[in-house]
Amino acid sequence: MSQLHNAFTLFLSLLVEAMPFLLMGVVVSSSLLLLVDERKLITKIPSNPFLGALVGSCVGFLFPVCECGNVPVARRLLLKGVSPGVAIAFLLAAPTINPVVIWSTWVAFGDQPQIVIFRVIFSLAIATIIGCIFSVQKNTKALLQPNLARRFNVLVNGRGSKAENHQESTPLLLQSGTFLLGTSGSPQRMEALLTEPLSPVAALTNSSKFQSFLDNVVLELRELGGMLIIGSAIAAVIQVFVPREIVLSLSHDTISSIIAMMLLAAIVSICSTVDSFFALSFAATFTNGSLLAFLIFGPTIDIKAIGLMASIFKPKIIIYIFMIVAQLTFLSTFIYSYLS
Amino acid sequence: MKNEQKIQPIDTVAIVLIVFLSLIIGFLISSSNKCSGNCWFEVKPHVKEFSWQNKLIGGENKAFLMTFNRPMDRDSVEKNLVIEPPLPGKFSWAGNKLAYTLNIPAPYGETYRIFLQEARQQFGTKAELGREIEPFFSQFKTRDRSLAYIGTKGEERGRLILYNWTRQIKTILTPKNLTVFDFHSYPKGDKILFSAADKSAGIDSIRMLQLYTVATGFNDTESTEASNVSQNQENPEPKLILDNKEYQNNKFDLSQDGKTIIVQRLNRKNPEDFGLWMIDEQNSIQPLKNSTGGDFLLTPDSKALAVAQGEGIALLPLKPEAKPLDFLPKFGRVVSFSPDGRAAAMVNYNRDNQNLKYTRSLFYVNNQGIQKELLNVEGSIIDCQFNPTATNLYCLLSELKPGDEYREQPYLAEIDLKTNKTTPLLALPEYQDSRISVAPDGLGVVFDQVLTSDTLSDGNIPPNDSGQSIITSRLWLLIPPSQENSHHQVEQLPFMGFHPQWIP
Repeated sequence: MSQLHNAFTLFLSLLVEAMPFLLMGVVVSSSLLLLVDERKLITKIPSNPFLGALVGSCVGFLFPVCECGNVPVARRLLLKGVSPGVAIAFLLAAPTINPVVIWSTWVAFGDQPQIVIFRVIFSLAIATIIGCIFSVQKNTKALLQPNLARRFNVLVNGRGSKAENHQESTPLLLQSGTFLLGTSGSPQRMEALLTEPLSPVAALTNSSKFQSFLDNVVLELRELGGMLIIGSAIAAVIQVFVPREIVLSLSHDTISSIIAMMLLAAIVSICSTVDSFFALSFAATFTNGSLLAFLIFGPTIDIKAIGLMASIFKPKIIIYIFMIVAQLTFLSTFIYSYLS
Repeated sequence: MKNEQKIQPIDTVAIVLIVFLSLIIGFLISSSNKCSGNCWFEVKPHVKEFSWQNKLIGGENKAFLMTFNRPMDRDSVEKNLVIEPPLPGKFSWAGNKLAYTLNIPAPYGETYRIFLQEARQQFGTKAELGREIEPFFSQFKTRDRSLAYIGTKGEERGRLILYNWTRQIKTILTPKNLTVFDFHSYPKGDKILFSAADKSAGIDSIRMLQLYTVATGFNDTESTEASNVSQNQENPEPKLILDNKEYQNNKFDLSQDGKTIIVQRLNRKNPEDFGLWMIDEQNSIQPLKNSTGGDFLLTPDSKALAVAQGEGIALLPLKPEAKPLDFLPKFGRVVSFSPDGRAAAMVNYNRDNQNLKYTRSLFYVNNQGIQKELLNVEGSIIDCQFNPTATNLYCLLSELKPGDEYREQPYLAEIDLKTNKTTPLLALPEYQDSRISVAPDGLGVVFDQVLTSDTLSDGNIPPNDSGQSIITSRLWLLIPPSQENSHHQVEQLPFMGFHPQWIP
């Protein structure tokens, strides 16, 4: 009974911690939907895969969201037709490469500036490398979870082929982006949307823009909030049944310390804005390399966020991202541990 | 649908990369296991930073920090850290940082060596220990033990003398034409601020004081490598800080950080223009204007001034025309502050208590709000100074001798601040305005014994407080009990001089 109680407390604390950031992410995503013209956005992102991924990694500076808030924004970027390399680099880097997280890491580890510096460098490098890898995939749809892939068809491919839109039999309620397609002046019935040609964002009036914004916030929050609740519940249950002490006791040398801290990062699912303070409590007993592993791996991959990522990508893509991030984190912090 | 099921480019690239990274990781792990901890590429646990590395330290340096590159087994570090000669202290840890706080200041004039080996790395919560630390060795030095005083004999008469006890070198710091009246050392002992008048001023010299600084020629660097600078400098040149043209300069004080000088000044043309002036680091001088009053003392944090005003003590910020920070109506004088600034010794003149009228009470006041009376005397409280750890107070007191003639008998006493117990240590033959100075490393208390004549001072030497001429003066050192000696010891120093002060 007490374990159930603990699990519920952990679940609520994860949820309370993450929900404001998810809301912030949804608001940013909805603003992007309304304020940014996708054609202009795409032309502004470098076509070179490396530069594109680097730009994607640094976009977090503009949207200081944690690992829950970045998911709706990354999803929106993909739906806007941004290259998957750029969107994934953003997804992985935004939780770390943003002013709030860098500042909080500095507050916690100000006396060891190398931790702050290497957290930024390694996170940026890993996100850029994975962004470059995903830029080989030109067909974005193949990465996406089936529901999102259908929406992607409507939004991106639909611009070129109206006929293709008619072939889609997606339930319209899922098509959050379709609110954009209303003609200026009045809201459109959803059923009618797919038959209408795409119109520029600028053509919408202020009141309909605001209505679309609100509708989109509610829709995305419902959709992603559900995933967050499931992810938080799983993370809470794992934390109760696999206590931290067991994970920490795995550490008995440099290599196992890194693995233990990566595992801990995935399980505790703590938000990147505060994870440095959590890591600081291990500073006396864990190597700087393993603390770095915690600070790099935690914001990119954790159980709570995997639920959210599942709302965008197919499972195999999540496995690729997870594997490569884990390997690169291990490799970079392992080398750091041996050389410092 | 067919298209989607086909192998996508990302599948190929991702799988190839995962396999490639797995191979690299496997290779690194296997080679790190094979080399069993002695690989060229593996850095051992080591001391990354030692805050006193080759530093020249003083009484103000109470603790050092040692930063390790890995989490260390604390017991093994504490057990294996060796300092020679030993410096007792306490360990405390914060992450990979060790702080060692000395129980008492490190004795001056010594080179200390520090060793650490056989300490081990710690992993997580495991009891088993990791690799052994790279042996660490470093050293640091304390500043030379030095004493400054005003000479009374031969060519030293009226001049500022510096005696480097560690190297046994005596240096006359001021030129022949200046008679030194008072002086304060800068915090690192590299310079001394003094007030002096030209000998030609004769009997008027006390009204012709100017402020100067003079370099001592040592302790002017924090590095031990550069500490062997010339100690025996020939004719050091004093630098004028404040002239005596428009104002007469009286008493002065130097802040503990060495950045501020406070001088009591009187306008030669307008006697109403009297008060405290502040000289900052850039040598610009400005009147404080809010500071009419008597005796004054800068607080140890160098941010405020304790001035006797009316029937109390005002704490004034170091800003012109600023309002007092606090007013202590109970006390009439601040005798001394503890070196850490947390406590002060103050005198209550007992004006509002009929039974205690004409007596003086010495109080201990600290920043925790504690005010306790240490003693009550019918005579005078001439001077008091805290020892470096602020556990004891050394006081020069006097007691009123019974008889028709008013006569005070001065004596030196030690007051234990925990028990409030006053132990008279030494009776001084006659009341002369002696001064005491407690060594910054706790070696002992130096004080002077002045012999005067009733004739007026000739300007070659400053007069005592009664205006009498100083003929000669001996210097004494009182050494508190230690492991070797269970009693206080007094020895005469082989110099003739007065106003002795230890250099910080």
